[in-house]
Amino acid sequence: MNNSLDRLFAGIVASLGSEIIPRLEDEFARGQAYAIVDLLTNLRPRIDWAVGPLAEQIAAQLAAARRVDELAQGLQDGPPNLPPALAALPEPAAGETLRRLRDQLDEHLCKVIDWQNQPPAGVPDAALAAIIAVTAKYMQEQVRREVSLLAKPLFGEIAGNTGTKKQPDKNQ
Amino acid sequence: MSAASTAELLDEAHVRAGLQRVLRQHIGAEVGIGGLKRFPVGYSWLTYGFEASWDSAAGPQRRELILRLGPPNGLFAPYLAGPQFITLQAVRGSGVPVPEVHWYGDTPEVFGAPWFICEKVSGRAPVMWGEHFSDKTRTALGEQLADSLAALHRFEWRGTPIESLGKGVTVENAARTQVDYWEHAMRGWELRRMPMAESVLGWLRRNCPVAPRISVVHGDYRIGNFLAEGDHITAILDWELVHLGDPHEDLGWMCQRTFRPGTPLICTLIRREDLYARYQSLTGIEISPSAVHFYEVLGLFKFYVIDVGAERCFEEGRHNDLRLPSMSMQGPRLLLQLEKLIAEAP
Repeated sequence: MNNSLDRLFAGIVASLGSEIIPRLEDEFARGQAYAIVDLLTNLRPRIDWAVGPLAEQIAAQLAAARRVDELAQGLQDGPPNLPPALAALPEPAAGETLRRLRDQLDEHLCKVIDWQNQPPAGVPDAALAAIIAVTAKYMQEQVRREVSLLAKPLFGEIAGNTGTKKQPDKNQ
Repeated sequence: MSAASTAELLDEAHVRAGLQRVLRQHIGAEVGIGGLKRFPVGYSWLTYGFEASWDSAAGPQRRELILRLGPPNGLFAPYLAGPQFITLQAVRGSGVPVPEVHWYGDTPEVFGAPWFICEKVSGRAPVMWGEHFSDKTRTALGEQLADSLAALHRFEWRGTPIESLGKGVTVENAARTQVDYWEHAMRGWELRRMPMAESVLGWLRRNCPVAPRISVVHGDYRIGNFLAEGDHITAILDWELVHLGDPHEDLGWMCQRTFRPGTPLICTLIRREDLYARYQSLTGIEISPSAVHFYEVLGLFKFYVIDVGAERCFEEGRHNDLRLPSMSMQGPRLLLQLEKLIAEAP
């Protein structure tokens, strides 16, 4: 989930106001929908990203980046080193701040993968393989960690309500 | 007229005025517009159905037509109508069922956005969820899906206007060209870089196949993008990603698991071995399982990139459609599927 909280709240409120409420004919349902708008608007200044999953993610990123640095010691034309500015958790650890650090650490690890994808000539096979193993393990754990936070997707229900299925004469 | 906002393109009076102008210009008579109706599908081109009526020397005329408009806030904006139009015009009559196209424009002059008008084809678009085909219908649709694709890939595009879509595509660089295209799209849209996506890109670059020939590639050939009436496919739709490339690309795309939830049948219609056998006998192309696998990986990567695009589109406020962030949340799940799919390389 990479959209900002501000935009998600604003988009949900806008969609409720312009797309959903005008189509609700039941008075009680309309009242409930307006209450959702009100709640979301009041929740927004009080809500931040959960710190726990982000801290866990950053710890995994730092462990992978540090291990790559160890394996790359002594290599000519090795992968980029972990920048010192990214090497510590900020205090206090606000969710938005952690998200920025997580993104910067992923950017760093992407540069390591860019290096892996086109390794300079002369890098010993064993060193390259060891670094690839570290980043592969990190990536596998990262996507599994993110997937574990996802609810079961509602593709069928969402597609069924775009008009695609109910529209008998979708046309070119 | 300057470029129109999406709100204008959704405004019936604006669309009606544009239609009257363009139809008067092309038909040479005052044209009545009846039954104007927008079909609420997709995240991309807007689709309107309408009935045009006018008087001619031969008597009163009436046509059911479709207008498609490329909105400025669509996922793949900015759009061009030309590639779809010239392709549909060229392949009509070749064995690929397509609507007859009439007129198009890629300047903002009439509607303020790219547009084209074509005939309305009867039928409905079966989807991958919740359809209950009889065996007879399933078999017939599956075979026609294979046959139409074979006809498209057999089509001799050289010497037709489609040649202009080529841009130097060769059997050697067709796969690389597509990887470049989708990487470029991802770079333009991504809100953050994801290591697994970079790793997949590396795999794609290391495994580009050589194409057996260069064919017209539909680019989104699957269930959901054709109309059917009874046991017959009446039209293949949604040509906005058409280009020249490796015919394996369409095969890899239609074979995605996404288009066959809970069934091994490709697009929920046909067994993979039956699709391959039928397609090979009609095209003479010997299908390379590793090339199809490559394009399945590329196809799943395209889904990931489209999710990234949806994220960007929503973040910039171009759409408040909540399906966009909902869809894009599934990015990590797609990356996990990509990792598994790559491991299944034949």
